[in-house]
Amino acid sequence: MKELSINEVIPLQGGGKARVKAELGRGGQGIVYLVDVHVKMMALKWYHQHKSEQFRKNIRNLVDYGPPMGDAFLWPRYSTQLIEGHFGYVMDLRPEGYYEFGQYLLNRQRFGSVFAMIQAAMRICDGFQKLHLKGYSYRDLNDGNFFIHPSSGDVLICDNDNVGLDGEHSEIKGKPGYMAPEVVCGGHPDTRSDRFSLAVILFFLFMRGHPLEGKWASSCPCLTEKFERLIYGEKPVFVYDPDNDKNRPDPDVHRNVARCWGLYPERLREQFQQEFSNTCLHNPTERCVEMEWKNVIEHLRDNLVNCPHCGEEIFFNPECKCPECGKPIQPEFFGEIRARKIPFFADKLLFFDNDNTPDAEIKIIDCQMRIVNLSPTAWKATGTDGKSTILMPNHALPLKDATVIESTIHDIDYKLSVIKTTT
Amino acid sequence: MTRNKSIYLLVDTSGSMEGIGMKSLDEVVENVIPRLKSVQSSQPDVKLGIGVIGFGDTAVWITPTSVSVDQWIWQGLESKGFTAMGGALILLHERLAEEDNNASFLSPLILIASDGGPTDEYEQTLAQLHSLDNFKSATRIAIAIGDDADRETLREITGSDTSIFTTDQIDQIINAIENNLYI
Repeated sequence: MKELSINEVIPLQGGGKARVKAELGRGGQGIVYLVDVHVKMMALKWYHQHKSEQFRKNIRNLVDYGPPMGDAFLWPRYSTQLIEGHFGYVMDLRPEGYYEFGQYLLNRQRFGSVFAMIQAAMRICDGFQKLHLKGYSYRDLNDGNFFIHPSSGDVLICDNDNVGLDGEHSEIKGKPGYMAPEVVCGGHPDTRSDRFSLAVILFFLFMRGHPLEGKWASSCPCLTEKFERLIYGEKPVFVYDPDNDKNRPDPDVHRNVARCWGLYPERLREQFQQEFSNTCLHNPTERCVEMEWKNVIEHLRDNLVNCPHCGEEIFFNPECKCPECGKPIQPEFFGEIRARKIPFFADKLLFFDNDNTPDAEIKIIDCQMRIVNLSPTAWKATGTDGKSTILMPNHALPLKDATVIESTIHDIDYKLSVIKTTT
Repeated sequence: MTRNKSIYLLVDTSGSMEGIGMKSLDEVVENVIPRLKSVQSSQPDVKLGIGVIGFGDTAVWITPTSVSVDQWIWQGLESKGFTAMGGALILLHERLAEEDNNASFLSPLILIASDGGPTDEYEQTLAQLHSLDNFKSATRIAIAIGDDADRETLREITGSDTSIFTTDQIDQIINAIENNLYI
């Protein structure tokens, strides 16, 4: 293999140059260097192995087509020229404060809050929705592809070198445990197998275990290729398949999943049961698109509140009882926006649209529950008397029953109706 | 009384759509389908029917009759040749003319997706479409694929710049569709 030396200049496709400044890290595939490209510090991934012309062409295409919308992807910005048969690509540097998803699964890193974890789930889904809408598939989605900020839940998606036009032949199959059943059985990864891998990632994120690893999977004497194919490919059984209980989590072995499953609202559990049903496991076209996951995660976010008694983050439930301290909780107001119903508690952030930026916050100011406009645009609030007021950004409005708040975000109109709880 | 609402999807299947353009559109359609099904289940008294026209060298009905939303499966389309957008408008005109005087049909939803501009005559047919009340009252949405889509022609069809979206504006596309479909 060819390693690069400090100050070595690597010519880029299209005429630029990258000057090597330092080594940032190395792994099985290659070395990542800090490089200076036209006075901008960037990262160069330099492969150990010779890469095929098809692989290099794919990277050049990714550079030409450009990244999906948003800033979640550490996308190939330049490809290098071939040097003694070796090759690499240049991407933006990963900012400080982000940790690999696998570190969270191993408890070496923890989310600052449940809210941050939900934000991470939303941003992972959002990233893959944007990637797929661009016409690409990721093809190697696993726990090593994301870096997550523990307090904000912001997500960076890396290792985009296997991304390609959906349906095109790929040299990559994926990582065991994350590959879709049809890929385990010999098929090629595509957008639909990405969706299986995404569901596995989300299950890991929320339940801290694998969706197909329960009693039945554990009973296999040894994880040989034959059994691996059986558990993840030919006859996968979801650990909470409502029609087949043979692979339930063993409380002594699969402690995390057994403990976490009941903590979440039914809608999330139902979505996993649907996505890992026999139908979806074996019929890739039946798998849900990222937008449907985003709706489910939005439901979680809407119902995540701080208990007014113990302060814990809990999911508001129809029993109106805090699962942590056991005390009754009843919001004074709800908000209805489209088909969503959001309980209003103090310090609750509200998200009207899908950009993952909070648009409003519920605050107690002068002993009165108010809604604060966190969006950059003015709102129109209309009361039951028909009178309208304009609520400027960062201004607060006392909550009153039947007030209707109208706002426009990214050219979409939203109407939030405030409803006082009757006791 | 059950009423009918047609959703017409006109898809550019010219050669330039092959690859990333068509894959991107596939993804838009796959995101739209669950929402259409959701609208249908909440409004059983309005029957949503899908008609798909592909236009490449010639315009053809891909989904020749209005298929119900629940039974519609999108399988993607092959792309090659020119951009017979005018031909697609002729097929659309034939169908809309049939619906125009039928009281059981609500104003339709028309979506057109293209990465280029027409390579055949389209102005005359577009003028004929504008003489139909149900075309004039239809919600007309365009999806401009890539950087080379002929936005001027798409604007002539939709009647407004604000009805032209790119594939990454999926939330706006769905919002425009749902605003039309929830009766």
